Amino acid sequence: MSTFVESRLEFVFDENWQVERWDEQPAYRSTGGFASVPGTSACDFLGRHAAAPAVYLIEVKNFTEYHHANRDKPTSAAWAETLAAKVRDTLAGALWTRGRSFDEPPIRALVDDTFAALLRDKPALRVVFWVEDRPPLDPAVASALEMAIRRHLVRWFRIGNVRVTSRSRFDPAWVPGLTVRPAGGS
Amino acid sequence: MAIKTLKIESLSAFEDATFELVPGINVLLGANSTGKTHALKWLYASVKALELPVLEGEAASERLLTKVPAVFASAERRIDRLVTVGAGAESGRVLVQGDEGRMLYSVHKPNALSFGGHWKSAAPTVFLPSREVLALYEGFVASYLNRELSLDETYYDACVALSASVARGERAELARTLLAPIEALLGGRVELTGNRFEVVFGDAPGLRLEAHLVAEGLRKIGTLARLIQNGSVLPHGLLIWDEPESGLNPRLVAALVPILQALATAGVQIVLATHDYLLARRLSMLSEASTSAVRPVNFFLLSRSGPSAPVEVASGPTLAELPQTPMEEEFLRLYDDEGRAFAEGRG
Repeated sequence: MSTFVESRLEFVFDENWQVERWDEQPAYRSTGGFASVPGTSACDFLGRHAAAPAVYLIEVKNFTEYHHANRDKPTSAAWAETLAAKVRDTLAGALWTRGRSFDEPPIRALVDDTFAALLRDKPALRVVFWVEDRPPLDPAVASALEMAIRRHLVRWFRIGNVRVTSRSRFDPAWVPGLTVRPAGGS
Repeated sequence: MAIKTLKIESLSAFEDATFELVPGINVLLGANSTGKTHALKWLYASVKALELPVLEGEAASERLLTKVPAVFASAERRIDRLVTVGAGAESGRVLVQGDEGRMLYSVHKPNALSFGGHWKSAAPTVFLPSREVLALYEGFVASYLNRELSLDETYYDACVALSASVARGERAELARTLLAPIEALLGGRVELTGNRFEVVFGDAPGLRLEAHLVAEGLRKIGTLARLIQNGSVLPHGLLIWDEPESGLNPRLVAALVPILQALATAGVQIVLATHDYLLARRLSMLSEASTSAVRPVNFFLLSRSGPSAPVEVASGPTLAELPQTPMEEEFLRLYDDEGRAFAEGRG
């Protein structure tokens, strides 16, 4: 089981997960890591679940705790573009680790499994944009936002299933073995 | 016959537009005044005019010269009114390529048409206009023929199609299969009693309602039921539907998707235009889930850069492979406006 706190939310991945906080990995964040390539970005989580043939990329934004942050909240168009770029850069960054000093377990195994899954015939990339906001995302708006993100992704990938969700709307079937709760709360 | 290509040049809203259709479900999207209904009407008028008997040369030209202006309800029923205004064109062309035939005709000023190609199609073509016709039916045909109504001919044709007798034999068997989910959605069956349609919700007295008393959305579903029941919508035929969502609540819109899918699977080619995000998104999901080499759905986004600019057509098998649609733009604008209202203490 792996537990991470991100944006005041606790993400608990069960024992079937092979998951890393990608944007805090030395491969990304350290001096000489992939973030040193100008203009790159990364998703919060990159992972695989033993029972699902997919690669999961999860990006979290929590606006509910920071009222003033809403003033600077990006527009939906910017979100779509930013998230798609994070997906692109996370996968590029994962591949970039190969043959470098970061190419060690457990990163090596995760990268191997990620690309093995992505190279299968069936669509295998699942992107979750976890948005906590007030008021909560309207389902129709979330669907339109998913489509906007997906539209950006298809420029770079053959595939790209996208789910925009929040704790109040989350269905565990979408991401097996994941539980999300307020950090330090119930 | 399945339609593979529709190409329209210098006619109505189109300077040069091509639609490569799939045998399944074809979906036209776009803001108002981008030519969606016109594209549907060019396809319908062309194919319907030559539905039967097989006509060629001058006979085909004559038939098209009558049918096309009637479908567009152009002034004085002149076809040259449809040659693109503003582009300086003196003529326009339509190409319809089917898997068993091809028609190409030119429309010239003054009011002339020349036909080429060979077209043969025994399968029926139906156009369902955006307004429902089940309640309109009573007395409509006579009123239209007496020129008491100024509606375009798609309404008349739809009423004529509704008037056909219930199919028998093999066609009835197939119709029953397709009808079952539609009648389940409708909660009853459609019957023609005298000169008016009724929806029969049960055998008890009082469960038989004239079409006028049934909700508009259900009347549209009832219209489709009747057209299947009487063999007007058949495998290898063409169903053209302008804004099927109008008058339907979201539950009915969503329920329409598996019905369209079943019709397409049975071999009915469908071409529809919609402004409804729910319908478009659900249809896109069918396409996204498909592993078939031929996608079951194809989308066309019609747009123009200004009011008098020519219509441009982008196409793709899913919504994500089109430029952003006006429906999505509005949802995203709503999201952004809500965010601004919240930040400014207005929300």
